[in-house]
Amino acid sequence: MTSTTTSKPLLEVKNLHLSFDLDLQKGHTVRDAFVQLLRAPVKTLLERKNVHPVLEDISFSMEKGDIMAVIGENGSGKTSLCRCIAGMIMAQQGIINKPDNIQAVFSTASAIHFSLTGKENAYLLGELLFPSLSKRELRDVIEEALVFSDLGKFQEAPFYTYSKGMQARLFLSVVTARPTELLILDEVYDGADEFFQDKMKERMHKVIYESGAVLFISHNAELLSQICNKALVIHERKLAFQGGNVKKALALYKNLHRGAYKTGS
Amino acid sequence: MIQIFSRQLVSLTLANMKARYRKTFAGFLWVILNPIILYSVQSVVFRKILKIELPDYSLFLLGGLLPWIFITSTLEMSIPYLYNSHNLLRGFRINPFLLILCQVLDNFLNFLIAFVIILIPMMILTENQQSAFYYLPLPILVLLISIASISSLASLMNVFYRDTKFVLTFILNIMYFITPIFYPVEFVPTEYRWIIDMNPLFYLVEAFRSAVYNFEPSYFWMSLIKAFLISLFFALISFLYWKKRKNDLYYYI
Repeated sequence: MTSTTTSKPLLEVKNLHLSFDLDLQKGHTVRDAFVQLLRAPVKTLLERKNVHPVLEDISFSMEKGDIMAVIGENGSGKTSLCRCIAGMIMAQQGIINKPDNIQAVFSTASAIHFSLTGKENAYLLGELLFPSLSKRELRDVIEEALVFSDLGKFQEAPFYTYSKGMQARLFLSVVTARPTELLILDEVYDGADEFFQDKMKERMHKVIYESGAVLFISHNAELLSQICNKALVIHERKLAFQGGNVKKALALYKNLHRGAYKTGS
Repeated sequence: MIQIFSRQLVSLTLANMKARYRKTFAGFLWVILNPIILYSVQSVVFRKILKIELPDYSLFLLGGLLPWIFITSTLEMSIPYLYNSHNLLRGFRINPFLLILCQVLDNFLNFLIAFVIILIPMMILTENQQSAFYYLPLPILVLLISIASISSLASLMNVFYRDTKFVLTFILNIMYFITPIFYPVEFVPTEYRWIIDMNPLFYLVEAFRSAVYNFEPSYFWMSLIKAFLISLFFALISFLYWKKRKNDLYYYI
């Protein structure tokens, strides 16, 4: 799992800044906004947007073969960082050089249409996740995933009849069907442990090791130190640590966390 | 890139229709029945009770009603869609615009079906009428662009202002009466014409209808150009709003 080349990194993030507009004080309805505008027109129109910073000056890079742990408290910006890299949101500042083929998973169970069958959903999901495959290749991939999911005759049942575990099984079977250049996994293990029989774990590990590189968000310290060879620690929007010592990163995170508790109480 | 987008769009739209009309022929029948029932009731009320005098009133009414039904049903379906798809949007990378566009296309197909099954026979059966079949694709295209733009704009707004759909439904209900759909624009007294001139939906409907009913080249082209400018306007506003607020989408859903 050591990187052999020092040429171009697979992923390069430089001086990334991200913020978003948060108007918690303002009403969340058109009617509220309208009343506010009538009550204090000048103030409402001139009022500056409440800009909420999410990430500040993040820079790091990944080589082929890296499995990078992303560690941080809830709300520290881990998911936002991954969404930026996946191309779902645009950063206000900074450069991201990334491979074309990125797979990002932020949930264990998503369906396109709850009233369609699991099989139909699997095909739609395949088309959205692996757009470069031909119809034929896609069919092979999805059929394999369906067999793996062990849903049997439930494949033909509407998705809304599925239990949480079945939803996760189908979704993850499709998602892990093919390796990719850069795989982003956001807490897909956490809180869903009960759905992960050994078989699924094995498949997940397989796709992790076959993919070009992996960004891995998790709160499971044991798992992180087991499979990752690099780590990022995000603390209060900034990068607090990056490097190859995952254990050190985890220890630092623990300290930061404790510190935050002390100042908070 | 465009090839992938259109392939995904087609698959999603088909899945959408499948989910909606699954195994129920009634679901599909409703696409035809809905405009026919609305049309029949209005036709009786306005012709027999209110006694609007207009040659070939049926064709006139249908020519305005079909695009209007397309506008309102698309908006009603697509506006809450983005917010309601939060699970999907949060789960993995999917173009949110794709989700709205497949709602629009789904409704557009309904519109085309109603158009072919109801309006075209009506155009053929109505004698002594000037209709221009071959020009119809133009106003239909302009209508499609406008509705796609308005839908995507309002759907994103609905994420930040959750009552957008109620407010818009309310506005559309009012608009139905101040848009010349069941009465011709000539009936409107000159001192109230400004209301019509300010109404963007009127030109979208009128460009379509002027090719169906009483076709006059100069009037048709003028309406079409106005409708086209309106569609460009909405497309631009929608584009700018999306550019500005697409990021925030993920924090509000």
